[in-house]
Amino acid sequence: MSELIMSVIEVKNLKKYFGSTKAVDGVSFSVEKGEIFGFLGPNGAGKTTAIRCMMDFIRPDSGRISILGKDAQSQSVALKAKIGYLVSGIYLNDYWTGLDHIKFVEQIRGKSKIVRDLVKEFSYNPRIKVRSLSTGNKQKLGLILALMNEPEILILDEPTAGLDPILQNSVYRITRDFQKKGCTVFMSSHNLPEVEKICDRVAIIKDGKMADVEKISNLKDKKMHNVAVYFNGPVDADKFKLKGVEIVEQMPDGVNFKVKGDINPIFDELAKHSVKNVEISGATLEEIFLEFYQKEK
Amino acid sequence: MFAIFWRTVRDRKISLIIYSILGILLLAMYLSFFPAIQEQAQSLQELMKSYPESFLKAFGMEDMIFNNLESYLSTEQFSFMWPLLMILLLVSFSGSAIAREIERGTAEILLALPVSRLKIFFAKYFAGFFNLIVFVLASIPSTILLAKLYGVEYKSEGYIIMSLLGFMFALATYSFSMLMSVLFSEKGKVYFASAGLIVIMYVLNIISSLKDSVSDLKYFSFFYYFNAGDALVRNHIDHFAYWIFLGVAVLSTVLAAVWFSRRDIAV
Repeated sequence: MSELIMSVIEVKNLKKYFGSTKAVDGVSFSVEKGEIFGFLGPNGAGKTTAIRCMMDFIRPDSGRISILGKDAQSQSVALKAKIGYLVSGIYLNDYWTGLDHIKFVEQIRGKSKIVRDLVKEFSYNPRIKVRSLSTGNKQKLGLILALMNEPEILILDEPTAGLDPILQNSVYRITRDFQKKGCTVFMSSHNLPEVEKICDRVAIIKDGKMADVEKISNLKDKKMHNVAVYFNGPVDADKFKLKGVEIVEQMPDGVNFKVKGDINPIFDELAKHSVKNVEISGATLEEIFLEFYQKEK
Repeated sequence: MFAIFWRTVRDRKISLIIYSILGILLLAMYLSFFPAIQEQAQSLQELMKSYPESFLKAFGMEDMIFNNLESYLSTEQFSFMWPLLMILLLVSFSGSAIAREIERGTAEILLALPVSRLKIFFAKYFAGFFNLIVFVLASIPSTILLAKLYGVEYKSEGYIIMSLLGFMFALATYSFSMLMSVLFSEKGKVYFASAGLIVIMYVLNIISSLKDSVSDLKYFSFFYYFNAGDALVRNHIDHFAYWIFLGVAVLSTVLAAVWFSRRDIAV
């Protein structure tokens, strides 16, 4: 019981099946007070299903979800008074304005002290009907609705989807500000750099199953890059057989590498050669899963 | 709960106003024809005698007296046009109240608030109930005012009884439709299931009047219990109609509330 109280969110062996589809299959994790906890996984991994179970929109087939020491199903109404929630792919009433949404939420949750600041922060015009808003502006409104009553817990499903980089940074800053006030943040994402940037810990989910729960510092070791190097002359690819470097493809004038972890050793080696061009891209989450989690299992 | 109720009423106000005005305009149209109908009453009555009895019965015209306003309106307005407007208004309301919210994902805005599902359901339900009351009041008792306006003789008691019968019929239809809205997650399916069942009941009522061998089918039709002529002309409602309409309304509402509280809600 004491463990339940210490963890703000405690999910134990959560299972939710839709017919033969195992959307969430035995997921367990806990979120401590005041941390920003990432819930990372590719699209269709089961993130939203798990969040919907936490919000009591759908009922688990088995397992237990406890939030602030209360059962997320039987005491969901009391819990929702303390939770700010942002739905993935924000669904709003098209014929309402932003102000209609804000007033509606205020009628139920009470007057917000910070809504004006949030509107200003996001440069959002609340007098426009939702049907005329861009995806980014809808996302801003969704965030305002989630944050405006200064909840104890924030559950954000893909909070930066559709936002430009400047606004993404605003979201990160506001999220950290809430964290400083003692708010616990649970956010899902399929964007590894985003999770690295903002979260303290991360749960990784794939095909409905938990792959791992990591500290962000550990996750950084699992970084992976695709590096394509084009040389001015012939090169012996064997010289690049370094720790964490895999040769994926040899081309007439270059080599494609997959680099796990630290990227510096390959640059040290490249410095010894005449390089025409280098293309570097971060590995996708799918590739990271394949490399670090599927293989381990 | 009131915030959800009031917001739903506001969101649906245009359709309520349009349907209520349509109901009044139809009444006004039939009333404007009535003096001319009265003048031709005898020849029309003779014409009616040439129709097969079962046909007249099937369409509620068996007791039609053309020089009596209540008899005329019970056939022209309240046996077909009024139920049609009522069904369109309430089925479209119930489809949008729950199923469309689920279909569009806006249900999550409501579900994320600290309000129980039962309260959400009943806030929506009573918003529809409010629509129902306004429509019934606008489209039935208003006959008295319109009749005065056109200088036509009327018996006010019949319209009070008719309002009660109309209210019960509408309540049963609306509650059943709300149950469909809770069962399905797409408004199209709600319209299909609700309207489909109502059309089947209408057809059953007609078939049961045409053939004696299947006359018992009428008991499965709301339209048998919704006897506008009986209510308007004879100021009478069959006791069984109370039980059927209220029974369907209560059962559908309870089932809908329980199911909405228990079901998974996701886009």
